Amino acid sequence: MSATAGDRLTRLLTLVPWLLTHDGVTIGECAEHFGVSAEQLERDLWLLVVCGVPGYGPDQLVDIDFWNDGVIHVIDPQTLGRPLHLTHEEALSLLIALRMLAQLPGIVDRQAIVTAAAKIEQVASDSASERFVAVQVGVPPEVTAAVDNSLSQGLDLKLRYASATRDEVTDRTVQPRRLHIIDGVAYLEAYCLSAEAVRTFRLDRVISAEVGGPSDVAVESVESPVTSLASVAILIVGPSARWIADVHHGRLLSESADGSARIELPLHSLEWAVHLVLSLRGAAIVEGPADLASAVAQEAQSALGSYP
Amino acid sequence: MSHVERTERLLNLVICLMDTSVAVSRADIERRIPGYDQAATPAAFERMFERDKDELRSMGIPVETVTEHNGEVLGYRIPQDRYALGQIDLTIEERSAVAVAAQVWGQAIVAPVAGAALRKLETLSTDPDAWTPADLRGSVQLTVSDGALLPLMAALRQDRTVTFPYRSPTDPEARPRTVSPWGLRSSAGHWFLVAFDHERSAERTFRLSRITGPVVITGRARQTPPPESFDIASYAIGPQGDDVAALAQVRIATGRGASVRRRAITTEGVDPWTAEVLTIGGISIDDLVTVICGAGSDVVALEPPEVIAAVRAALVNLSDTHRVVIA
Repeated sequence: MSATAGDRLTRLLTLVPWLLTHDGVTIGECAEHFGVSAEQLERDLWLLVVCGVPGYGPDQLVDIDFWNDGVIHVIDPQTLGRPLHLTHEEALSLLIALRMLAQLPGIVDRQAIVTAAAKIEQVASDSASERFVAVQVGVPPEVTAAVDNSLSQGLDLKLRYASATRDEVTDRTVQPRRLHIIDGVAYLEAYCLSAEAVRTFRLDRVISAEVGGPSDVAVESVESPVTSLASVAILIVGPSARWIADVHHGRLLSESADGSARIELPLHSLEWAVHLVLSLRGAAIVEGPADLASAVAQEAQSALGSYP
Repeated sequence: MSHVERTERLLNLVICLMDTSVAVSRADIERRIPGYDQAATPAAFERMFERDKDELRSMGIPVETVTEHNGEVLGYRIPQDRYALGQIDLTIEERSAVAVAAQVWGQAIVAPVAGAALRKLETLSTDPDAWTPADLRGSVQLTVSDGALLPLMAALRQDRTVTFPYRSPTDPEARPRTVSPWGLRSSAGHWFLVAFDHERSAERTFRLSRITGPVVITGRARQTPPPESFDIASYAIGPQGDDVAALAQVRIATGRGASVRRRAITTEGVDPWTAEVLTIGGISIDDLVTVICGAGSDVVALEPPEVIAAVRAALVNLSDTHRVVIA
C-alpha cells in the first residue's frame, strides 16, 4: 500500500466539510490551506465529483461547483459533510504539544491551552489521557510564572541558576528577551547584567526566579550569541558508559569486540566535558582534543591535592 | 492499478458504506462499486476488498462487520455517528493554542499527523482567520525523530503487545523485546516507554532513543494491563528523592558544585546553594562517588571513609589515563 492513496483520501474527506464551512473560497486559497498545488487541488475536485452512492446518477454524486473564476461551492456533499473523527495518534499529537506548552512560559494565554486540551481529551480515547501519556518539562510553576511576568511586562528577572556547563551556582539579574523551546526543554535567552552579555539559561536549572524592576530597554540592540558548537570530543567508552552518547546527542563511530566504543560528542564547553569525563571515573577516556585530555588530568590531580 | 483509481474506489466505498443504515453485502460491493470489477477472480476481489477495509480502518474509519444471529456475515457499514468528529466548541484563544500545538512538531515524524488533526478541526469553524497561531515570545520546536512514538501510541490504544529491537545501556547488541505498553512519558525532552516486559515478567522502562528498529504491533492482545492505580506522571523513571540509601559529607567551594548541591539533604538554617559543608544523598555509595568525582576540585569528600577511598581511586585512575599536554 502506498502512503499516497491514504494521504489523499484523508485530504479528500477533510476537504468537503472544510469547503462547506468556507463557502466561496478560491481554488488558490484552498490549495494553500491544504498545502498542495492548485493543479493537485483541481484533480482532487475532479475526483470528488465523479464519486457518490452506487447508481452514480446525477443526484447520487458529490456535487461541487468550481467552474466560475475558480470559486468553489459545495452543492451536495453526499455523506461527506462532516469531518472524520480525530484518530488516536492525531489527538495525541495535539495533546502532547499542548501539555508541553502548558508548562512553559512564553505563551500569552496559558488558560486557553489548558481548556483546549480538556476539550480535545473529551473527543479522544481514554488511552490519550495524561495517566498514560505525559510530558514533564521539569520547570517549577513559580519559575514559569516569574518568567511569564517578566517577559510580558518587560521586567528584570532575578535568577538563582545552577549551571551544568560550569557546575556553579550564581545569582544574577537578567533581562529576558526570548524563549526557545526545543523538544520540551526551555531555554531563556536574556541579557545578563552581571556578564554584560546575552546568555542562554536552561529553565529546568533555574533554582528560583523573582521579578524585579522595569528593564532598561537600551540593551535591545545587543547581538544574540552564536550558539553553534565549536567542536567535538572523541571518547573511548566502556560498556557502562555508552549511554552518554544517547543522553548528550553523540554519535557512535566504531565498536570493538570487548564492548567498548569510540564515540563523538558535541563539545558544549571544555569545562562541561571535563566534568562529564570526571563523573565517568575512568569508564571514558578522552582521545581528543588534546586540551580536553590535558584538562581532565590537571583537574583530577588538583582534586587529589585536597586529600592527605 | 494506479493510485488515482484506488483512491476513487476507496472514496466510493466510504460513501456507499455510510449511506446504508443496515449493511452492504460483499456481492453488492463487488458488483456496484467501480474498480472491484477489475478483479479477475473471486479470490482477487477478496484480497482487494480485505486490503481496502484494512486501509480504511487504519485511517480510523469505523468499518463495521454486520453479522446475522447465526454468525454469518451480512455485510458492512460505516455508522455516521462513529465516523464523524464530535462537536468541539473552541474559543478563538483555544483555536490559536491548538494551531501552535500543531506547528511545534516542525519537521518531526509526528508533524503530518498533527497537521491532519488541525485540518479536521479547522472544518468546524467558518471564520477563515480563526486559526491564527497564538503569539509566542520565542520559538517552540519538537524535533522528536523517534519513529517509535507513533506505533507505540497506536499499540496503547489497541491494547496490543509490541516487539522491537532494543539496545540496553550496558549491552552493545540490540536484542528483541516483547512488551505490553503501559504508558509514554517525555521528561526534559527524552521519551520513555513504561511497559510490562514478557521475557522478564516485570515492568521495565525503555528509552525510545535506544529502540534501534521498527516497533511491530503484534496481533496479540496486551496480556498484562497496567494496575488500576497506574499513572505515568508519578511513575519513577530515574532515581527519585525518596530512594536515598547513602549519605556523604562534602566541602564545596563557594558558588560552585551545582550538581552536588542539588543532592543536599537540607537541614534547617542551611541554604544548600551557599553552604560550605553539606550532607548529600544518593541511591548508593557508588552514585555519590560519581557525583563527587564529576565536580572535580570544587568538591572534597569528608565522610565516610569508603567514599573518600573510592573518589581518590577514581581520580588516580583519571589522572593516569589522561596526560597533561605541555605546550
